Amino acid sequence: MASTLAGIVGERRVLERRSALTAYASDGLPGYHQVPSLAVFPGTRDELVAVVRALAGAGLPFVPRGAGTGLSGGALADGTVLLGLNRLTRILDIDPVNRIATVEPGVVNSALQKAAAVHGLHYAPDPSSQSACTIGGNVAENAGGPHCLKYGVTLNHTVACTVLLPDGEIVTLGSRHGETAGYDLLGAFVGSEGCFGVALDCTVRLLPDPPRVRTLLADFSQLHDAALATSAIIASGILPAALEMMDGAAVRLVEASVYAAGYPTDCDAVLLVDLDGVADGLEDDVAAVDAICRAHGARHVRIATDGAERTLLWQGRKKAFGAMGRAAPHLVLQDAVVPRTRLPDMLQQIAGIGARHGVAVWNIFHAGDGNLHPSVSYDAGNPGEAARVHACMTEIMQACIAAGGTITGEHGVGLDKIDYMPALFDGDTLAAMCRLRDVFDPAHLSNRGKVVPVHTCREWHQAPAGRAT
Amino acid sequence: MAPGAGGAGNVMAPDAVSTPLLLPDTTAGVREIVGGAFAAREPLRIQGAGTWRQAGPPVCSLRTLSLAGLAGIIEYVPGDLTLTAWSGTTLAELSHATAAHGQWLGLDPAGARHGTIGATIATASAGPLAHAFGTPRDLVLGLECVTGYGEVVHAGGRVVKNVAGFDLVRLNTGAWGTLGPVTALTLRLRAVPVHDVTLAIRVDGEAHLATLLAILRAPTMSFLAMEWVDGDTARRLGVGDGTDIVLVRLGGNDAFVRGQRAAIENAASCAPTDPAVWAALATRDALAAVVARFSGPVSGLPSRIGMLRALRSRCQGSIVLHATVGRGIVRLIADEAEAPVRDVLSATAADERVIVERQPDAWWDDAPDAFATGLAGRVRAAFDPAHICNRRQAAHA
Repeated sequence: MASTLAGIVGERRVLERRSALTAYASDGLPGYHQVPSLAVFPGTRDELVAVVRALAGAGLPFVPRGAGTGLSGGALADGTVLLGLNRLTRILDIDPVNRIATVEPGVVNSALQKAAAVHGLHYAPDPSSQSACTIGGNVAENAGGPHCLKYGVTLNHTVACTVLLPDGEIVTLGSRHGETAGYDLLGAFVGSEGCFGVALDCTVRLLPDPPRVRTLLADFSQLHDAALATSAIIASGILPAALEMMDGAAVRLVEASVYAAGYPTDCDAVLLVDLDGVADGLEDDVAAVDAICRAHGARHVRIATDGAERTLLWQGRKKAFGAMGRAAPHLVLQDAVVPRTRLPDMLQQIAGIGARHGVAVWNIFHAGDGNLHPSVSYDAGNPGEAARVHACMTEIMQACIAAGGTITGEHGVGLDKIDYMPALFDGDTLAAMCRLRDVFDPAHLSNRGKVVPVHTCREWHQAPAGRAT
Repeated sequence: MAPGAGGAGNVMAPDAVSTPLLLPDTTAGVREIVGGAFAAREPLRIQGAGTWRQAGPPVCSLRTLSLAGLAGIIEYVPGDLTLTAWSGTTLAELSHATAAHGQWLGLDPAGARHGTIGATIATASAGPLAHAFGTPRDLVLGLECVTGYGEVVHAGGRVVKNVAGFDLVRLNTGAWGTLGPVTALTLRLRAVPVHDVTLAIRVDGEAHLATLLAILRAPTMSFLAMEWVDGDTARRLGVGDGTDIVLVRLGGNDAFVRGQRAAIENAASCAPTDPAVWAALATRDALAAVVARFSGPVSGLPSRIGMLRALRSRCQGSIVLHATVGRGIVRLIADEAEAPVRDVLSATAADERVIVERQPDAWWDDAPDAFATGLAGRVRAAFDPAHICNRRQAAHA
């Protein structure tokens, strides 16, 4: 197979040596390590189609991968073919009048932002990894980001995809312009984590840049108060573009790093709030959010006075996970969602769970939509510590499910959360998901073994694992 | 609240479609009916309250499964801005419950407010508010449905952000019941704006419309809804003198509404109008023979309107046109089923699309079944293998 693929993409674009393949053994979540049997990197749409058809013809399973920034172990290929899409980087079209862009899957999120900015437009989903992650990866994971509170996630901004199904068939889902009849197959494809095939191109909606943006930083002496303020802001009817929370420990870590943003280091929590839109009435909303924060115990509310200060305040939030690298060699960053009214109680529970396991849990998350990111820096080489961290995170996830929440808001299930799926969904629902997967990939070639536990599916009979070499 | 404690429901007298009506009031009752139909391979017509029976292609069935008995709010947490309700709950009931907490469901589909939320979601019906809040596909967080196998599936959840597992929520939204009946839904709500003002902007022809759209779509403008309405319709709605208008709905705080209104007045001739115009527009198609939506690039909206206006000159009966500007969709409502209308439904430009909501049964013979071919056909087979749910009638002889 390696020589067949080399004939399509060139020898330099097929990796077979284990030393080279090890670079692809993890994604952004270092707890998993799976080495592919080979990796292939097509550089054009035609090459991609030919590669997938060659793999399908041989019955070989494969795992699509964008930039490898995912946080659920979703793009790992365990002894199978890794299909790298990061060379497909062409922006095919930007239509500023109709406010859409069509891009290849390997286009980096920030590259699209840069191209759209020329027209006074932007692409709303803004994952923290946007300087590296790809649009194809965003579509596969239904990625979010801080500003998805107001503007929605990737799904809300994807209008069409040309999809290469795992058997090599090409289909168009959605429409560049106008409505489509029939099932929302685009909605099913977005967020399918590479299990339904790969996008040859994605057409996404662009939004005009908001005429005005105001950024506030409120600091609290009690984490609980910051959570209550969050609920009060949402309940007031004001919809911030972003409403982020960081606990005191995370603040102190950031302020001790090169990413220091001037956050108060003696607080127990900060709220970072973006309000944007037309200028009319925006200052009234700023004043209202300021008042709500103070009414719920905010010690200070700092309002950025210019773009430079806004960028600085956001730097602290966006680079927080990078700052955690100072604390320990490894980081586990979880992703769960609870109903917003349960945030105060859940944050207390997380603190208690961490204390019981002897694990320091940091909270840096999208408070406005209840999307928690409990995070721990630790040494994975210390078996005892790793076991405690794993037990702690498992208990946190179970608590989120018990609170009426879900196990992922934006990172996806991948490998990391697959064991939680039966706790969240009953057998009939998991079986229905398996049947949907079979519609797109009846031969189980694309990213097998991810998202839905195979043993829960009555109709899913594991095919013999293919070997690529 | 529990909708009831009955079983599979009572068989009522045959209705206008002349099939016995089943009215279960529990999910178990729905499951029993669908499971029985699956075992017997008997087709079922699935409906909500039956307020829009003529929508969609004709369905063959021995019995009608109505979800109107499965009604009521299951859980409403105002602080989360989420609400879970049985699918037979009417839009009016939802409005009443949420208004008490200063909230609303940003969904205003055409038709009467005693239509059900289940039918609204099953048909993915949206109205002018889609401009700001999106379509049902953007507002449903979770759902419970019974597949054509008779199994109960719980998709999505009750939180506003959720990517766990494959998306069965979107798959069922807009499926017209062909994957099985939806029994319960969790919805995303919004806070009711402090002020809600409607302005009517005068439009002097298609060229002016193009100019006006550029102004109204500017980043400095923000509306809940922006709907173009043809002059005749506007006059019948009690707005204007027969000139085309664009209705814009402003929602926000006092400074926002005042500022936006001033900006519009600087750019065009406009006047405030009774917000009841929205409800009047939504019910305008009650007796129409043909209702269809024409969509394409937003930039092509003026020419799309021009094409449909030309159609009107070739017809005897009344034709209403209105357009959701920001989505590029023109809705045609024809009181009579005339040949020129039928022609235009099947003769559109390459980048234009037509979705028919209602037309005479015989006209559906020419329309492909969007749920039957390719991937869609495989999806249907995966969830309704016996093809019992809202099975489309074969072509008329």
